[in-house]
Amino acid sequence: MILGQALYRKHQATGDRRYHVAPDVAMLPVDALGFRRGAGALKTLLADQGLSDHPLFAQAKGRGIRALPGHIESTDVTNDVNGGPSGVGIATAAGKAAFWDIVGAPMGTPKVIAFEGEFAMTEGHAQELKTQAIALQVGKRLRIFLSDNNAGIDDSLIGGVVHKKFDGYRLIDQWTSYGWNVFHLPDGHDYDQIVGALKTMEEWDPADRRPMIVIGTTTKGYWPGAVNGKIPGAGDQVVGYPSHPYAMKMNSEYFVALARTFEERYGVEFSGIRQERSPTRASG
Amino acid sequence: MSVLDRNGLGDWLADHLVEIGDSVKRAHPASHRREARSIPGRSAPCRQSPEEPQTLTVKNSASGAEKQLKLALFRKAGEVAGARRAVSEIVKWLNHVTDNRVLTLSADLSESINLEHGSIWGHYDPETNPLGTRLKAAIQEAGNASSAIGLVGQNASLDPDQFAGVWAFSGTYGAFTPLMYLPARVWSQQNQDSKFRTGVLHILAGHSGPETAADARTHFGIFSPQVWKLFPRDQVINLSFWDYNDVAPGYFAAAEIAAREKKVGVIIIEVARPDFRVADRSTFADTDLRAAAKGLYVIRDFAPGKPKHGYVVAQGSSSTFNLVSVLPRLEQAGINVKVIAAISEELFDHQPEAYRSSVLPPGAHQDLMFVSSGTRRMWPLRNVGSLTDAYSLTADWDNQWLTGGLEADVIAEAHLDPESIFAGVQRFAQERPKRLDRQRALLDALK
Repeated sequence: MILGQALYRKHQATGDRRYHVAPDVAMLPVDALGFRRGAGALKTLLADQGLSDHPLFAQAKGRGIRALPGHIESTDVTNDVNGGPSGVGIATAAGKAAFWDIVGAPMGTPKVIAFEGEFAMTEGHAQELKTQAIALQVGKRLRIFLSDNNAGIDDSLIGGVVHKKFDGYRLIDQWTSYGWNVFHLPDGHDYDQIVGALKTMEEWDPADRRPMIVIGTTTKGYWPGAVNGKIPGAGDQVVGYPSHPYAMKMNSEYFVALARTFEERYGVEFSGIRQERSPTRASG
Repeated sequence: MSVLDRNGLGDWLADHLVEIGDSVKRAHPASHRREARSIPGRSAPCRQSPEEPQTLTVKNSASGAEKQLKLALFRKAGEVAGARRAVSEIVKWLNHVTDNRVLTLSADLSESINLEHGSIWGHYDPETNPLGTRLKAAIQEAGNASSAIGLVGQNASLDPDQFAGVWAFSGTYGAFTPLMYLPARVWSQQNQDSKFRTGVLHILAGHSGPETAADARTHFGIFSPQVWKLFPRDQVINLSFWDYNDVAPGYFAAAEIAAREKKVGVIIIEVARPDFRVADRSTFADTDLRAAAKGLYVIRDFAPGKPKHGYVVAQGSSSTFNLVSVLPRLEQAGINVKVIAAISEELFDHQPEAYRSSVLPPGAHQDLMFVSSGTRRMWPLRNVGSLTDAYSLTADWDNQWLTGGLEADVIAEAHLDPESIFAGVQRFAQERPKRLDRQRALLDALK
């Protein structure tokens, strides 16, 4: 959506076709209104609110508002799977990578890059990817980024679902034991570490037929404006599975506190977030 | 979004995106496979699949090696070969006409469920055998299906309306295919929305039905394969084969539809394990060797000039085979039923109205019983009458899980042995007046 807006504004300003994204493909800020909404409801949403001609919603002119599913789908353009049920998208990754070998594409071009979290990876079909990818010898074409924040919706993985006394339950060892080429990022939020991993993978020997995975230690509830575990003006940063927005109210005090740090950093102000709203709830 | 207006951030981002876009090469990858002669089913090679056994000379375009390829899409009546044995032949033929674009993955059963010999050049290896189409696969039904989805979901064509990709089969026991359902369901959703032409996922429900006797009920594909009906209508094609000679025409008809109609993202093939004698179609009302392409075909028509006793629709191996075996006895007993083989409701739906009415005229659905190795929970055809359940013969006739044993034991327990079928059809025929009266009474009660 941010990328779409960057191209949209540049095209509006310059008329240069290189910045043009077909309206039916683009994801634009106005589409935020379509999150978890059905296409039928969105057809009349602006009109129902008397906002059809409001300048803030001009992007909807002629193309409407896109319905954005509650879980990522290929219609989002940004990815090539419908990934709702945990791990079902990444489970197809070995096949995607093998396809390009089968049709004779050079190793590593194109690449298949998959993102997943440690909890979704516990799903059966996702676990089977470990054997699928090594069996198909997809090599560096397949690059998985595993965000290990040790947090699901209701519990932690290690120290929660799996008792912490079982110290042999180690994700890195699990992937290594399946024969994968495993990289570890101690801080998965550190751009230098991420870029370093990307560069290493890109330069890796194409003859090495092990699939690749980067396991980055991350924090669910990460917020760059946090200072020593505190959100300025809001107290303790909420991390781990409690940070899942499962029961947070829209524009809750904590949300507004996070937004405030953004406003202060960039010198902007969000409209309307400090007004009273009825509670809402997001699912997993 | 006003942040994008500050410090040139938005411009930098847009320029960077364009720069990345410009760096993407738009060339086709060098292909191990020749330019597609066609995607499977679209062209004549499938319709013109040979009826006589073939020995073809094939050349490996990667290694230059040549070999002889034996192929038998059809067999003579009376030969002993179950429908499953034709599966390798259709895959082999597809690979022959598409230059090895049909890949297979099965859960440690490749030989047993007859996918093994669909590959012309053996196991795929990215370095030593790139033209191999049999992919190494563990006992991972969901993973294998997911990899198959990954394969068919890619398209190397720059034109989104053209398909330069592969089709894939993932197979296992019919009883275990529900493990493949979740990824396949999500795949079907993706296929519906895809802006690009994509390939077709094939699920092979091998060793299906109660015929998987000795493996016992944990391995029976009676209820399990019915998950493959849990899709929006016309987005999958289900094929249930009972005879060797049904497989090629039925499958190629489905492949042709799938190649033409983008919304068909999954083809399901269900076959049983036993080797039956190939049916003698000269004794059938429809003698067309390729009758299965029509979805439903008539095995025995009503005898003219005699009272009609109703329609008997058969699906599954033992059920259909044993029904055919008792037809002479039924005729001797004066039972005048029309017997129809149900290979695929979806293929039948694609037939002209005249054909559909000639097989099942309006009203026939109210005068119909099934003989099926499936269940009474989901019929092979939709919109059947209210008394269908009361007269049909299915493997779950007593709402109990069957036990295991010898094939004959299990089929008898399922009441799909010749004696049970004869008795069931006889009852259906003899009680026709009562059946129709009951249905009329039910409707009259609504007045």
